[in-house]
Amino acid sequence: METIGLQQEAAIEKLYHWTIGACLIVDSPNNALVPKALAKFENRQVLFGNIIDEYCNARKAIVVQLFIDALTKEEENGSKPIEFYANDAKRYIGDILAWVYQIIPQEKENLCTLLKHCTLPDKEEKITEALTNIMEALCPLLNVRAELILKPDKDPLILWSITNLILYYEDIIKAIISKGHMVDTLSELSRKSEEVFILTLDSKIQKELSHGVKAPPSDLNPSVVVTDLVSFLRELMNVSNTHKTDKKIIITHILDPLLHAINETACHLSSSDMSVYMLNCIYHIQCTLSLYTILDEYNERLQAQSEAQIDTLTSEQASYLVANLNMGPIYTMLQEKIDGPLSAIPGMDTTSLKSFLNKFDMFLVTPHLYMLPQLNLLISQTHKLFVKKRAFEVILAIYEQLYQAVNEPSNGYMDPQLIVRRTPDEVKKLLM
Amino acid sequence: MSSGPYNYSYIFKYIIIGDMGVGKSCLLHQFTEKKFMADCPHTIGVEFGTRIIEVAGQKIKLQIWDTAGQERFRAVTRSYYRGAAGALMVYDITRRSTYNHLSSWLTDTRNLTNPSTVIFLIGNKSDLDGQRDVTYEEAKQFADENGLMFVEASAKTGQNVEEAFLETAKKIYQSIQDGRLDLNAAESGVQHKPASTGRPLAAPPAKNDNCAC
Repeated sequence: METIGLQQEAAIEKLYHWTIGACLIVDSPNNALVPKALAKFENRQVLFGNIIDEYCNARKAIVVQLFIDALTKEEENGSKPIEFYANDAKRYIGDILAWVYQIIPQEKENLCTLLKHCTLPDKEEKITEALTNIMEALCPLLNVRAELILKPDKDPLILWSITNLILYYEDIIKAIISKGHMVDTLSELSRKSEEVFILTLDSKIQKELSHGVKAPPSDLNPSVVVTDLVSFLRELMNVSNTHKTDKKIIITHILDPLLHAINETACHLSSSDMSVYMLNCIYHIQCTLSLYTILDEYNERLQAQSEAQIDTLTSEQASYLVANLNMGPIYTMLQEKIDGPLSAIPGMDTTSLKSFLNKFDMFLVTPHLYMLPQLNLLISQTHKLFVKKRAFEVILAIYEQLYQAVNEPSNGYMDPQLIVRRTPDEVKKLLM
Repeated sequence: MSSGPYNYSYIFKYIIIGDMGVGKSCLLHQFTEKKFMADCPHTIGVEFGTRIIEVAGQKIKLQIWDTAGQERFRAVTRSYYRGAAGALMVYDITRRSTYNHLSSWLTDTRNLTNPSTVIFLIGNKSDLDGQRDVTYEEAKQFADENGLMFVEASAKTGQNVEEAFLETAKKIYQSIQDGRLDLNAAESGVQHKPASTGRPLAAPPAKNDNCAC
């Protein structure tokens, strides 16, 4: 019994050394005997672990060599190595990451073959663990190359593409090997890449906005800086794979400074010009943002700003109408509590009112002649119609008051229907 | 070879390319699972599938990279052309725009693969003949002019799907036989599994004596 035991131990030891040796050979995944031999060590954890470690070490060396070959060796058929395209930063990083990603299924399959005769309950985990271990070998090579590329001397758009590429691979590689050096390297690279991107982004935005958004063109359309930055934003959005970090970056690093600059320019303008210019700029930004649902929240903020400007513009337009129609004094009288008939007050007598209402009738026939000239500079027709409608509502309300006052017997107007010929409803129909 | 750990002799790398919505992922799914996947979601970046086939008595493992058709993934997908032995270029016979873009797909393929890469043109959705927007003859002529292999196929019914993948493999295998494809080149898209040329064979039967099993 004892002799058999001893012989068994000797055999196991021999087999152990043979298996380790076999694993070290380049072509070990093709050796049919290795998986068979490995199965014999299933219940000898330490030996089993050692063999797997040796196998991984051997594969690491091979994978590194393959990677270096792919990076540097030209093929006989003329395909250029990856490094050949190193001046195209995006392609270079993309090719490197794709190569790394494509090696995973191969190594995984090798491991599955290696363990195919094993019946361990945690076989899957063992395979993933070994795969994680093998992939680790590529990290330094990957890191060195990526760090050379991730420099702020590049266009922010390219750096943004690269950031998105790294984030993409980080996600899909994480789904296969959830932790370890490779995943850490990728997280670190994506963090670094984003950092460099933001650095270049900030300096670009700062440079573009350094002289403020220049005085707007006379047509109050968004200035070139605004349209340039908005199309730049669109390009960024088109690159991104709608990753969760996009929104915050774009808002805080592009839109906020841009809006700030627009506000600064606008505040040097007259009130109406300011509102029209702001509305045009915001409208231009909104048209772009509406393409991307992830910016909905920001869009709401812009909407609120738009509404404030529409309020300002409405009140400007209403005042303009009141002034041009000479409605001011009439409006003031109507608000005041006056003893005695209104018709006895200078300016509210029948003659004055008739002359006012003649003018008012002109307005009803040709209301467009009474609009603020800036209103025609609004890009959005919706904005224009809205401001017009609300300004007319103000005028209509004053007319209604006047109509009632004239028809009020105590105000002492003779033949009120000859003074206010049109009912408020008629006026409404003409204006709206 | 059958005694080896691999039940195949070669690995061929394929890529599937073409506009968004032409049915690339559905073709792959039909080929690997023999099922039609209705409401297939848009591919994010790249997806991967494998199947072992037989050509001239040799088992060949196809390693297929299915790429997203959307423009915004081009930065990811263009890296997968590298080292592909076969490229399946797909358009939708019911959408002319997808056919019109073929020349740009072809340019990319030629630029990013090597001269021995076999390019196979597939006009997908042949089951929708009633909505056809591109005639067979026209596409066939385009294929002939550009030296591409061509079939019309349907990922839905499975018609010609098998053929497209197999014919591509046969052509690649033929290139190997003719010596036009260098197996040692890591980027040829072909790996010969049981060590072939110059690599040490790790499992000579003689070793059986040593290892007491």
